[in-house]
Amino acid sequence: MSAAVMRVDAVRKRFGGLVAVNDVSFTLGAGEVLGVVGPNGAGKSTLFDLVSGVRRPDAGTVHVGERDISGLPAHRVARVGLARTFQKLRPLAGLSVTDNVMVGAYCQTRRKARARSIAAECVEAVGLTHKANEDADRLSTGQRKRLEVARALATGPRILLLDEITAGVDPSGVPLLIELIHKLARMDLSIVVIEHRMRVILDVSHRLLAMHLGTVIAEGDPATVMRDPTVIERYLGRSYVDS
Amino acid sequence: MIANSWSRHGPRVAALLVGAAALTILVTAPGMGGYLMTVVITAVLFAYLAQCWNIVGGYAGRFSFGHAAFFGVGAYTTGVLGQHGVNPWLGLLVGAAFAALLGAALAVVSFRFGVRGPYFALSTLALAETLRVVFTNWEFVGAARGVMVDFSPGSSLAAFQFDSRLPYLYLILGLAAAVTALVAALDRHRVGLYLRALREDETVAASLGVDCQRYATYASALSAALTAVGGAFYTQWLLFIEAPTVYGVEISVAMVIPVLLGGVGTVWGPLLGSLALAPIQEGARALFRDRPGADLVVYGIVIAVVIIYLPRGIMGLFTPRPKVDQPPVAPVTPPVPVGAAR
Repeated sequence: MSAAVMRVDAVRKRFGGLVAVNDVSFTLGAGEVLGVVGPNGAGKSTLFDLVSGVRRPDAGTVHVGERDISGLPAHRVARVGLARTFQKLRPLAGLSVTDNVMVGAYCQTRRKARARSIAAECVEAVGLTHKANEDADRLSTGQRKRLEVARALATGPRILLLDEITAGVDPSGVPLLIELIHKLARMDLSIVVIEHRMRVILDVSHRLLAMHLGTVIAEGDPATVMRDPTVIERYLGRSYVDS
Repeated sequence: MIANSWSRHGPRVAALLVGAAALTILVTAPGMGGYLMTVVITAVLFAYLAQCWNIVGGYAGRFSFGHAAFFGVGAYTTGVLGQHGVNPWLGLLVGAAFAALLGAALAVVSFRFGVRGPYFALSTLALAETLRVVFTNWEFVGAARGVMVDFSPGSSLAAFQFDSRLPYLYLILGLAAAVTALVAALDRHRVGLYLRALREDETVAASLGVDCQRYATYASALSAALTAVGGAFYTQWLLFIEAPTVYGVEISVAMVIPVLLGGVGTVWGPLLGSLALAPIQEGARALFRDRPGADLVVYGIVIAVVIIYLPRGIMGLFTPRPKVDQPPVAPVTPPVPVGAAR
């Protein structure tokens, strides 16, 4: 965990009267897996939107390496080497799995044959090779999650934002996704993970960031954050500690 | 599996059908009567225009309901410049350039203000209607009298005028083949994939590095320019244009229907749709010769039935896709403890 590959400084986003993300700052180290936890409405997905250029922050900056990417449109951010998945599943319907992934692969090359081989590698990395020619909207939820990862991976990122990749996946599919995150971490990617499954987040994260109502309420190594009284009160609940 | 072999060979079957039809037209054309040839030229012109619409309406998913705007710009530019002694081929190019600018402006403005879906369709309709009214009242372009192109006897490719219908038929067949080759190339190209991606989901496409505004604008400008070429052809073929016709809703509709019928966003769909449509149209017209308007009712019913039962058009028949249940998107909210059963 040497130099920070990404630095987020006091980003803020307001929707009308609601401050969805309020002066959130964090850094992401090279090769680090940072877990983001917090109840629904904490601003986790909005934070991803601000970092990935889907929405413009009202204030604050995002640096990837030395480069200030705050306010860049999403397609430029993708080419800086920051890729994301979406919480709400969004396969490009009517396109095959390979075509879905090739869209991202064209970030790395303009040549079709090269894009195809990058796509094939990424599809294989997430274990979807047997579905490569299927229409994307015919995949199961777990497969769609993996397609999201393959697509993001194909853009050739240094930083990957994974938004609840195990949500809605049946328990038997979860170990596969945990293994996938470990695999991505071994590929020298720096990763930010939003998760509600504690099993997943504790298994993969090097560090945790807990959010509530748009602000960071705790940050540090996972065990410490999980014992933090504020985190227990605001997010985990008493029953979690008792279990 | 039958379904698999169909989906692999579907486009080939479609290409074969369209190729056979084109060949039949080519071979029988010299012996065709005047009326039949007019019908065929019209049908091929609209097949060409449908393919032009397909670029932006099918691939980029911008459902324009006012492509007559670009058709009219092409027709009028060629006609009016022709009246001032400008060669029609040059007029065609200038008209295509004007239409491309208009198409690009439309794409930029609608992107900037997030005008999508039905709202986009309505705004394009409004654009065509506005032009229709403006051109009907604009003295410089002949106002309600329209534009008459001077005809000098004799055929000349350079003057884009022929004293028989046959060269027009060859010309429009060539244009339809050329635009289809272009769409086929686009279909296989990175840009075609980008267009399909942004059609399905702009946010996702952007997150994968696609500059949605740029490519939507390219598609709109290209589609508009090619549509204007069709308008220029129309002017040179009929030698007379008037705003209510060339900017009319009928033209816009006639460009969309074959694509819906044949298959939106496919290479062969617009042509298959046109191929299926021409006999329906002519048949209904012949059947209700003494009941004006009844043919349009039949035409409307056929289209309604197709859209309800064949949402993916005729190409959907060639490339069947069994329905599957959509997996639910689970609203997982609470933290799930380690070792919990869920």
